[in-house]
Amino acid sequence: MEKNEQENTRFLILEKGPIKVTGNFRLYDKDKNPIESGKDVYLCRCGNTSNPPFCDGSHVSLWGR
Amino acid sequence: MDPNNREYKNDEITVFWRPSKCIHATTCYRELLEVFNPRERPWVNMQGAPTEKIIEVVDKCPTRALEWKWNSPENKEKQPREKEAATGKEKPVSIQVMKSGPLLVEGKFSLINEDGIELRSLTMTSLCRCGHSGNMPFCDGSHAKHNFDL
Repeated sequence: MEKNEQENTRFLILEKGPIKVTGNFRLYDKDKNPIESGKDVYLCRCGNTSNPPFCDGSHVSLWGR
Repeated sequence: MDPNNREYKNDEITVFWRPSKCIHATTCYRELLEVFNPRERPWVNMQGAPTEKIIEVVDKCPTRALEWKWNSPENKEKQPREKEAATGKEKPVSIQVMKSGPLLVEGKFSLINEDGIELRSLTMTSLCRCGHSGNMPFCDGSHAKHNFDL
């Protein structure tokens, strides 16, 4: 997917929620292999996702809305 | 003054360590384990590498938990300036998902905290993935105590 190369990369910590990443970034696994993702991503920070590293809404049962 | 703050010296420079600022970005020991080894006590060995190399790595600390100064005032002119902002096309920010660990972020980015405070011009950080950090959103090593395994 196209990522805007001129856009500033921002990490937005959503209250009781995931990390929203926008801008020009690449995701990698522990061995530096690229992980496919969309233009913006929501990364799990509650530790409970069934689809790491992405948010799947599990934080709601843990942290509420 | 935090009693946990430390100073480490060699003949030319003193390295200052402020643990309350550390977010465990792991830059220091990944780049220069001969000097920065968290398994040793003391964890900083100022004889482990040439001064220029220590300076280079300390300058990479994203929170300045590690800082350095010349011991002798005559050397003050040698204190390097802040790195100039890069011009031209920026490299993509790299987000590495550490197995059983944090998100390791490298590049040029900003972070907006839950309370809306924006930290600009960050270059490296570790973001908690396990949900147990006492220093959210940053990693503080808690994932190890909770057998985090995603």
